[in-house]
Amino acid sequence: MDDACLETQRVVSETYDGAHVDPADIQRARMHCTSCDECAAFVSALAEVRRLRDPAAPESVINSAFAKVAEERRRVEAQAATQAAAAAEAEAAARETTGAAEGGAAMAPLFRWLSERLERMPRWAVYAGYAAGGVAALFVVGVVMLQGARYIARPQESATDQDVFYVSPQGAGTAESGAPEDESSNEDRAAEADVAAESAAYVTVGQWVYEFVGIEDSQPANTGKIGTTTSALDTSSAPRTLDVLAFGDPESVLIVDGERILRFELVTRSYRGKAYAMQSRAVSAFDQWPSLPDSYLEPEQDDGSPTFSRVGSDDSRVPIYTVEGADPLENGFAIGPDTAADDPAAGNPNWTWWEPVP
Amino acid sequence: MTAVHGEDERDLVDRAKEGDEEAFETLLRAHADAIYAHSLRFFGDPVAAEEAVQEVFVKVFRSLPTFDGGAAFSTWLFRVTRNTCLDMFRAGKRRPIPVDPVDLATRTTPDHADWVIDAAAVEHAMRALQPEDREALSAVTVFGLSYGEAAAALDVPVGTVKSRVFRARRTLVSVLRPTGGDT
Repeated sequence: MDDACLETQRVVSETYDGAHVDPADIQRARMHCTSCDECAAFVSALAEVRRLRDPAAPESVINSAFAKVAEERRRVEAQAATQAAAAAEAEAAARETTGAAEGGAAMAPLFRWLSERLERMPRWAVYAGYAAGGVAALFVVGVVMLQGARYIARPQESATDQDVFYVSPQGAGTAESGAPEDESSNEDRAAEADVAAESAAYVTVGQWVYEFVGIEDSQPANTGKIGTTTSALDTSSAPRTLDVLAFGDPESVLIVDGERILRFELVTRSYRGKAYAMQSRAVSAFDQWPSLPDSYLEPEQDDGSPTFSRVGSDDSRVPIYTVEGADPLENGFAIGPDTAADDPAAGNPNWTWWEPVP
Repeated sequence: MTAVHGEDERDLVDRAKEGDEEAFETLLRAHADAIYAHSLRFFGDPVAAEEAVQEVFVKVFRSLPTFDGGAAFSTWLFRVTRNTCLDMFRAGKRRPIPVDPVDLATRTTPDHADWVIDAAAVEHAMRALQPEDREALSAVTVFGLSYGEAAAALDVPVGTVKSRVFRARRTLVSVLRPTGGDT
């Protein structure tokens, strides 16, 4: 086969697809086919293939697919009904609150009645009543001032120590805000100041991401191993493989590291009333942020392209993204970096991926 | 299946987006063969193809409100179908059945003069194509996309679509040729 054959067959192929082809090229291809058995056979074969119909979907396949759609429609309608009922309940609760406020207006006749009674009382009795009320008010003011003075006189805890967690690599860590601690614990805290609330403290079990939430005093009964994780459990040690234990709460796990029992929780967010959990490549130290699993390329643009395109927002109005044509409800979605402080992915400079909680 | 095109299709899409069940059914019935053919050629297995058709229908039901009409409905549907098959494959739910070249050889008439291709032989030959060539051919011949639309759907240049379709056709003809004939 020479270049003329290749060119002829290319022209035939493109003509078959309705593409614009130069009429002179078509004419040349026709001429070529009259003298080339190879290309004539190619044209015949294409015509033969084209004569045959593509496989048609059997009626049973179409019907079963529509049955699935009907099932899905019922599910969506039921979910919408549940949400509507919840909204109605919330509205009713709001009305009750408003009703309570309106109850104040209902008290007006009582005040009118009291006022009328006061007007009819002897003047001395009215003055005596005012004097008793004044004494009671002075007593209340005195008590409040005394408590305030005692509060001001008490030494204050450092505001910077509040609401931070800390896990000592040597053990005996704590994660309570403003809780009294011994001196050695405070020294450890100073030495590990870099492990503060702003930094990441995650582990991955499989691809699921769990966030450190605290230290347990003792290991609960009925724990069971559900997997392993490889983590340093701090920012400086070498990562090691550790058993991950479940203990009844489906969204929490425990990791026993020597004498420490660390509790982690699945990182989740809600989309259309359904819980989705974060997935990531392996995270092996506490200063690492979760990122997209290996199966997704890192987007090049802020709008998620070329990997993702935006498909809507989650229940907290955070934009969600997914691969073209995929269904976020079923297959999950991506969240962009740098979300708000109250977001489950807050502080993360990476794109993250979220899938339905199994 | 009844083919719907142009304005009719846009009207059906608009009505289906508004919740018109009849329009939704008409729209998907018109495209069911294409979805099935693509899925069957992807997996080589009618059971997997049936599952894929179900998934595609449900995905279209869920995602149609997000279809903005920027591209033709068939282009969007091709993307949904292609991604559904790929997702099923990635999720390990279904795997394409490998094609046996020996089986291919016995499905063509050994005599040049009597060269008749049957549909089963074509389907087997389709399975012998490179996946990227097969999906380009599917986009153009099964879903009826132009080269430009197929290029957009596959996220490759138009020239790449042209060469993939051409290579797919040459491979098909080569595989379907009577055994013993030169290629």
